[in-house]
Amino acid sequence: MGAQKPSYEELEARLAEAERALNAIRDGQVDVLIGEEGVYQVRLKNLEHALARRKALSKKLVELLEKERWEMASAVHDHAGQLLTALTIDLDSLKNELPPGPLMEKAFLVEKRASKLMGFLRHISRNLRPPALESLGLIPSIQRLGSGLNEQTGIEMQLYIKDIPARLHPDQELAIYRIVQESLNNVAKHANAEKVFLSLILRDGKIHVAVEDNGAGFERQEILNTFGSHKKSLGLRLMKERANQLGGDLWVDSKKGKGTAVLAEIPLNVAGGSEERLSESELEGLM
Amino acid sequence: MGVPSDKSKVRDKQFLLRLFVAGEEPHSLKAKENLRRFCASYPDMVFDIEVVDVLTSFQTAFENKIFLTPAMQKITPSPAITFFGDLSSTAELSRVLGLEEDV
Repeated sequence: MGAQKPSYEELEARLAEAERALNAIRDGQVDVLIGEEGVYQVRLKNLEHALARRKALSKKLVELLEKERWEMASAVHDHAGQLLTALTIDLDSLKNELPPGPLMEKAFLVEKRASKLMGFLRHISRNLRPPALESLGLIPSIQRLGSGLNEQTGIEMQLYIKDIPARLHPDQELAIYRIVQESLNNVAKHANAEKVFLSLILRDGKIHVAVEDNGAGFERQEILNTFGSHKKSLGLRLMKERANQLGGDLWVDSKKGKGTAVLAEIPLNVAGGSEERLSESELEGLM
Repeated sequence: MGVPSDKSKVRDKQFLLRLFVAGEEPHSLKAKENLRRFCASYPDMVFDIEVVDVLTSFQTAFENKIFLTPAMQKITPSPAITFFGDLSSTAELSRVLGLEEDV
């Protein structure tokens, strides 16, 4: 015998019941969920709260990291750089006073080393606080990253840009720059690649970022481990966090022997989401 | 849960309610307390309340199509109606149980 068709009143009552259930979930008035297999203890409101807190903490972490980088860059550029410049000037005048001989040769050697050190400090400073990003924008800065990668490792970067505006919102420029920078660092360190292909494409209101290399690649489980673990690659997790903060997402695709691709999608127009604010004491704890 | 009303004062309404809770979980405790207060605010009514702890007998909940707690079923008078959440909305509870005019 077939099941009797429910009446209009019964359907209406079921609908009202479903609405009451949804309201309870929406209001976080739920202790457990019950399924065929048993009871699932879920504190939805706490979970929601925990997720919001995690989001706020991650945002703060990225902000602090950026702040620290700027401070370090300033310290390197303004203090160490100035001291080194003064040292070079001193060496120069010393050279003029020294008679030709072993001491003079030593002074030349020290000057050469100081010059190398200056170059190294400039490189650190540029990495910490990309000077071109603010003045020239994202694309020239990324081109510089590519040149730097090539100079240091011999890896060739091919860049493909489509429909990306000359200037983006500063937050977007910094986030995309850092994502590309970290991806290229990973290529240099781990990929054993000869080439890296970087594309930035604006499609359907989103900036699609892809950093693909032709290196060794790695297995899916290794990617999961990397993203899932607190110990492994903070860099990858921070990249994802940066994309998430701008309403986008980031993921990694790789296969052993087939290279690795870091892919991100970031909306061009950032919609401001609701954020949980941290208390003063929590902020102090982070500082 | 006890029956808070005096049966000698019953006018015309008696209710059989079944409250599904999850042990001592916070919303379950709140639902128990809210229901106790609600019933106490209708001294002329009779409320028979059966409490089911889904942590020890989830099958009863599953068979009654209760998929989250706290939840409360009005079994009689018919039609049967199910509420979800901590029962903090007494206005809705009164309306659905048909007690609005008695307030």
